[in-house]
Amino acid sequence: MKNIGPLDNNGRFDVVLALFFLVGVASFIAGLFVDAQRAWYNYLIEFFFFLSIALGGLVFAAVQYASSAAWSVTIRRIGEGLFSYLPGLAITVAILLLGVKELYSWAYTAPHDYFTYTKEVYMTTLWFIVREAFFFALWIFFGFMIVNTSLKQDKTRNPRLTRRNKKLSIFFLILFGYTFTFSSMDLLMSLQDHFYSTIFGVYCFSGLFLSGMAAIAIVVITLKNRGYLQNAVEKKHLHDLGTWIMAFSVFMVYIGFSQYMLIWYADLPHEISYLIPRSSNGWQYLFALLPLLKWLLPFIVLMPEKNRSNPRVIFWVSIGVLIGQWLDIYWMVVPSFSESFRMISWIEIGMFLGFFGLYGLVVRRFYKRHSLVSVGDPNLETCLKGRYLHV
Amino acid sequence: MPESRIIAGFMDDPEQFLEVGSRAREHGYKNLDGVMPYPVHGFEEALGLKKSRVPAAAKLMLVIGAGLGLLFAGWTSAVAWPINVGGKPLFSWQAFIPIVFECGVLLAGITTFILLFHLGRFYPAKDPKMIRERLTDNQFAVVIPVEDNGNIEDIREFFTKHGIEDVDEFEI
Repeated sequence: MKNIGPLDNNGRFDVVLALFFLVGVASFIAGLFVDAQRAWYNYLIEFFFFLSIALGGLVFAAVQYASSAAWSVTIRRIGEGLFSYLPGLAITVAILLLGVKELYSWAYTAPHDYFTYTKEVYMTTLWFIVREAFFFALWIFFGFMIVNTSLKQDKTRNPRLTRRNKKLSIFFLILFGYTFTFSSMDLLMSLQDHFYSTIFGVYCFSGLFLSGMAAIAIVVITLKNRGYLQNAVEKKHLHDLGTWIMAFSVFMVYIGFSQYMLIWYADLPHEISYLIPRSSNGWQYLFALLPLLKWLLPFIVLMPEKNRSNPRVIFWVSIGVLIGQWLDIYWMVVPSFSESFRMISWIEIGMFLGFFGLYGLVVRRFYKRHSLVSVGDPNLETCLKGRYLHV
Repeated sequence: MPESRIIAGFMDDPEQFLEVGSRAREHGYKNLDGVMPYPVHGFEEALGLKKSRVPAAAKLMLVIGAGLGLLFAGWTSAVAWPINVGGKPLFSWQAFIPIVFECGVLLAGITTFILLFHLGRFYPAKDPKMIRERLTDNQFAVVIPVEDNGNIEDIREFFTKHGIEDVDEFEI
């Protein structure tokens, strides 16, 4: 292995990212004066997009620990690094909670029909804040425990730490399944006041895992092109990463279609009120684009084995998947506020750059301080030699 | 098929199997074969086997099967016996997707199954001519046909040179 040490301290990138962040702050504040609601829902979109990537990195690492996977040892630290944004997320969720009254109709209107009356107990501002604080505290706690154990292993090389992380990861994954479902209900599903659906949390999870994998692939390939991770992440590892992206794109479309077809078939008022605004008045074109970007693109392009281990192909497919994920969140959020299709304009781009800048700064800080590969892992040798027979 | 003579070297380790296989290919032996109890990743490259065309056939049959499924579902519910279900259009593609998917998978699956039997020259009640039972359990074999690759002594020597004691000849 060569060049696995911490990232070089290249100030230029940080300056660019800091500029992005300032652009984001400026466009958020300008947006608050021009159209407060639009600024807030953009905040929610960007918040959820980067939440998905950060948690996706952690869930990826936790899955690898829980299954004692050997193929991903050299990639796992990248996923742990993506999670290092969560402390920043704690601050951004605190700001989001200020906008609850602008975003959610249950917060600014009194209950007026059957569906809103039945949700009145659960959907109160205070209870909402308590829940989100609990979920985020839980994720941050488990994330820090897992990442710190992994970092400790870099120094001590103690194989028992892997066992500890395995236990932590299993607990985390079980709790994560419940907490993320409820969190996505709170943050996204409750935007449409009549809508409730039990598959919604799984749909958000499928997007989370897919975008997490895509982000890991992008970071790994960028680092490799810049000369890092030489002899650490090789063709066989990229091949497995590409296979995962392809597999989870199928999972995503499976869940997405299950949600869509059942709502379409049953045509129940509380469910179809979600789908009708999202498949009319111009939104239907965006709706049709989502499966193309999130499923058909990775599925068709990554099907031949040659493409699945080609870094350039994986890189561009991952970019497409991330664009699809962003548009998916846009499609889930915005029709609740605007019946007719709304084009992306300066505020969307500005706030995306802002969050991207913040996210990039925090994650780069992590990679600058720690080794890019978990060098103390007992499975490292197996991973490097490819002796894992894909287990 | 006429009987032909093969020489097989047996080993217990999948890595050694890949190693000996690629050495045999580099040595210039042709029409190599490998026997393994489970798929070992990379054995096609190691033994220099040609890329299988089964996946292409499966893909083709997937598309044909899905198309036929769409036609059939559309014909039954919109042409042959139109029933109004909940006021939805007679030809509702959303309702057909599971059927289309299943038909595609079914035809691709059956094609793969039949093709594998055909290419392996295998059919029900055929005597499988197993060269050694442990190959279905935990042993691996690199198989070198004698006709294409010179004399028996050289091949045996090749195996001994790479540390394989367990070498045997078979008529298949």
